[in-house]
Amino acid sequence: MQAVKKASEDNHLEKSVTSPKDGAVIATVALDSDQSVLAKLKAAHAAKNSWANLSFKERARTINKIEQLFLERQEELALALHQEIGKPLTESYFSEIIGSLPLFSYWAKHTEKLL
Amino acid sequence: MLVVAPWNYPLAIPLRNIIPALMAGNTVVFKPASQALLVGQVLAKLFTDVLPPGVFQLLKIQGAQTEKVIEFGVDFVSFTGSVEVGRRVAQLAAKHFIPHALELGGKDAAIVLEDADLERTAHGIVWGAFTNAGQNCASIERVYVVETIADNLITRMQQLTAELQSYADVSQQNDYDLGPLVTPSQQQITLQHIDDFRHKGAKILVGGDALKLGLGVKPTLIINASHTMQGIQEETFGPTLPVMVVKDAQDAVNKANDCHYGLTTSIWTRDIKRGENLAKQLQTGVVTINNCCLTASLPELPWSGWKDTGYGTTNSERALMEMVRPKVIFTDRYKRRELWWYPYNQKSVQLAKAYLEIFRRKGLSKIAPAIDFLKGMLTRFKS
Repeated sequence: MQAVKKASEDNHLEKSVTSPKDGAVIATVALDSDQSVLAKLKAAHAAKNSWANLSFKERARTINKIEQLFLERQEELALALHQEIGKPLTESYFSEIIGSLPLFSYWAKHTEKLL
Repeated sequence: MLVVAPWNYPLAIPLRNIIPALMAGNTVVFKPASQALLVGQVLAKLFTDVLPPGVFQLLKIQGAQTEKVIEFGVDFVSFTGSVEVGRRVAQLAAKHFIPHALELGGKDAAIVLEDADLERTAHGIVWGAFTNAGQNCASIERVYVVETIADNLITRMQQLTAELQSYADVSQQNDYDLGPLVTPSQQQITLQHIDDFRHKGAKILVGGDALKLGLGVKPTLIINASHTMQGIQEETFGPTLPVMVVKDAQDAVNKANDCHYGLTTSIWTRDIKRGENLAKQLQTGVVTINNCCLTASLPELPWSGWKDTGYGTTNSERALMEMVRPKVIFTDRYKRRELWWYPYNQKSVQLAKAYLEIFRRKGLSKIAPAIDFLKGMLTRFKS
């Protein structure tokens, strides 16, 4: 249901996203070129040490902030699931959002102790 | 660490891997399924809006590019998806000795014993089979019901299945029970399994066709299924619920284990002790009693499977341990050379033997070799 084509100007691939409910095009997403992938991998490697050297408490604070954003953006998340893969909204909220909620506090609280 | 996520739970499944990976001190490159790029973008923004630059990277790429990412070098690959792609990931990761974890789906059975609570069981199984239109790696894809309760269970599940509404059945404002299948190939596999059930003598009680709009398939309840049928042997990943009647619990367990996947099994019974005993015989990573499709949402419990379901663990301390490398820093403040260092000679051999003799002997007879050992030590360090 999804078409990949080369955008003419910058040689980047893009993909049109269609709804599996009726085939309607709902968005176009730019894909990463090989160069862009390489740059992202290098950036992730470069950030490793400084992230790993933070204390567990500092990393936990960051995860707690992400949890807050996750709750604030619940509707955007649910709608993305509903539109792109056609998931019932009830399931988007229960299985995906409420079901994921314990992950933030569990790992923020327990990772240091478990390691 | 590379997280390769599937399209069926494109939020929950990657989060289960990403959050512990970050807490353990990894940076994360996240490759959402190409069918769930919009969800992937919203998810990624949660992280990139808060984390320091570089720590979280979203890769919007196709499968072949994913192979290049592994080739480039990552410290760990967490893959959730199909057996076929999982095998390719494993081969590629093995080539570069990159540790990896694979969660590759299932063909999960529900076992219904004669004393099951009929209402809870029928509701639970119908939900477990049709939630996310069956596109759940722990979907109930086989039911083994003991013959004494079979008719009542089937009748109730038939009523409940017939009441389910698909996206094409409701007005736009209303929510529905079943969405579409997400890919055309998934719809084809589901319809092919339904055809195979039909041709090999099973009976379709409810559903059995594609929806007229989009990629949906009607929720389909099947009876008189058997192990010769594709929809019992292979993962369907669609809204089918095939039922088989068995003579007793042991028969059900044997048939449930006759499968090349091993993710979860659910047992439905009022006799908890009996359910727990049967659970020990089942070749799956999770057994739930009187519930289904829920323990993956409990971060403290390991989520993993047997056989073609793959290896490695999601959730729990075990998953965390896969995402870190052990590091031993051993510091010695002892000044002399160690007993087992050079020089080697007749005396060093005798010293080793005296040491072992202390362990071999019992009680007071240990004293003689202990004295020999101490003497040997003194001589060795004087020399």
